[in-house]
Amino acid sequence: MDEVYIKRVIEGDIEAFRFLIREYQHMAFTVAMSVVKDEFIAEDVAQEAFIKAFENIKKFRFQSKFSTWLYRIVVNLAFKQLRKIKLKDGDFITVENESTESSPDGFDRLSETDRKHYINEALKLLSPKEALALRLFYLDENSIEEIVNITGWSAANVKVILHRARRNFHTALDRVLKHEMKTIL
Amino acid sequence: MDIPDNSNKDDRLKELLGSSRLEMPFPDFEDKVMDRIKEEVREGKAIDKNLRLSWIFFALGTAFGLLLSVILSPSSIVFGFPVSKLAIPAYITGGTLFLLFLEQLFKFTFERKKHHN
Repeated sequence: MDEVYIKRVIEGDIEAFRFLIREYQHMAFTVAMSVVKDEFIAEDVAQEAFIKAFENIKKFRFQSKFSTWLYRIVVNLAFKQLRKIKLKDGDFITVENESTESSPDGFDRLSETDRKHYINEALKLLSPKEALALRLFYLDENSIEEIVNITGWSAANVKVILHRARRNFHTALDRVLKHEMKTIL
Repeated sequence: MDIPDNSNKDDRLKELLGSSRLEMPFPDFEDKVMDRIKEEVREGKAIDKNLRLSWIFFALGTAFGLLLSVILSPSSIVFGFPVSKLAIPAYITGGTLFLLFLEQLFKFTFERKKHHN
């Protein structure tokens, strides 16, 4: 389906690009949020990414999925933005030693909306690379090879980041829930 | 570091992170991007039009300049080439400006062509 719209855009039908924005805006925003952790900056990144995608759409060779190509642009712009806002690794959770491999007790009893909220809060605590790797792999169901294409990291590096991210995510989730409990009590 | 690739087995994480998709919180996002794209296309067309005009006026200016230098030249200048020492710096300045403008036009035209491809 994407192919049809991409070809129409290349032929000069600008309005056809609206379909691609509608289709990918949420995931582009999600990918940007994984890195920059701020809604307004993520919106800017997503916007710039779509503009850049439009400008370079003639260079898209249909050898990969459009989403892979677009997310690569989003990721590049997001990390560029990250360098400007100067978030450091120390600003994020790195607690491998105390990490658990399961989600906290009672988590399943929470409502869908609450679960979604806490999961996204936990992802905010992870480093940009870890949050990005987790979302690309588990949410968008990209393969390791696709993540390599999107991020430009090596396959071994992707696996290492995913391994760390899996461990840190449960700890981050645990921390978010404990903090929430403290706030309520 | 040899990391076991057990990623496919982790269904629990898949289930949890399956709901980590965020909705774009700005409902006007689509329109904002489309407006910027349309503006950019409009600007691009205007730039191309101006570039065409620049080439036309540059060619006209060059031809007119050459014509004037031949018509108005004193008898000491034959076919636009100066004999007087005073005329030499003027010709060097004119020639340098001509080359600079030509270079700028070529550079800009090349950039636009690259942009279109």
